[in-house]
Amino acid sequence: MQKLDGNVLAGPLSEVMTGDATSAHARCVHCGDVAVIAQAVVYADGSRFVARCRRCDSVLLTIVEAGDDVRLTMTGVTAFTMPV
Amino acid sequence: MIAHAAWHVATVSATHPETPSARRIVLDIPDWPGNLAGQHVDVRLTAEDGYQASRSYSIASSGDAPSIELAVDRVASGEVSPYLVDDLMVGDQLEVRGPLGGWFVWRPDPAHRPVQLIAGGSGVVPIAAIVRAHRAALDVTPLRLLYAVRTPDDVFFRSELDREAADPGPTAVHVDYVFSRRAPDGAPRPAGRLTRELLGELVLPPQQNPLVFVCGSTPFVERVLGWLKELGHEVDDVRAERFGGA
Repeated sequence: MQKLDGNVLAGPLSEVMTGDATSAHARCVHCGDVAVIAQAVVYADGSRFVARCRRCDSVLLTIVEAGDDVRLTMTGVTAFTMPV
Repeated sequence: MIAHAAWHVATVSATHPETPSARRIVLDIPDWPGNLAGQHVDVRLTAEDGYQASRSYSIASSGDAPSIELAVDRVASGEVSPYLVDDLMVGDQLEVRGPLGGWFVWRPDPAHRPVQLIAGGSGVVPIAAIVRAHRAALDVTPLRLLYAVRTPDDVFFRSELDREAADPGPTAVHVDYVFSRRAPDGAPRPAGRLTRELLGELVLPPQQNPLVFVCGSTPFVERVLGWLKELGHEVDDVRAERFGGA
């Protein structure tokens, strides 16, 4: 398990969203901190990623790439705002 | 506008030793849409038995050309970098996904907001892309680079950084080195680790409202981010990219 940041999610998120999702702003549902996804704290284990809030450490989202599937769970963020 | 990321087949067109532990790799990608300075790619290797491993690598180049340049440092315990540094040969093919990332990027800036670049070790790769893009655009935005590296032998992009340092013109990047283990003869300070005091001396002060880019290993980046905050830089004026052992 490696501690990284949200930049590393650019590839996996590109499989489910058009445009760069790491530049999107999102609000942590737990503490209300608003940050871009690239600023999140990310724990990576191969192709499994857990993104946590930079302020309160709550889980923002998880993304897993397995074979031809990408599974994204976004229970910890709201007001996800992408530049278009 | 950022080009849409996709998987591409890349062919190795050249390799050069960069340092005793790192290698520069040029990849030809006929359908590459171009990339911005600071972006990265995911490189995927597939073993004969179907096992796949994928890691992110910063791109040292930018622009519209159908090729990219990487500079990869060997992490002995890594799954991907030893292959890229020691085994990959000209003509080999790799799968790459990109261009990736839109946060840790720099574009020539009509407003000329000053930029402070801070690199630790091989974290200089996306920083070098920014230095190169700045020079290619003849941009007069003030750029200053602090490069923390073990010894002079470990410096990436030596000739290009020397050219910046030797150039008295308004587009040149000011380069400061902090050598942690061995400094060259005539260095302005003896070898030693980067400290908060040194960081304060060598980076643009918050009063100049710089945009700051920091790239290096996770412990390096987190130390620097803590010091920048203590020195008065706003968290959201600092763009960071961390890497682990790949």
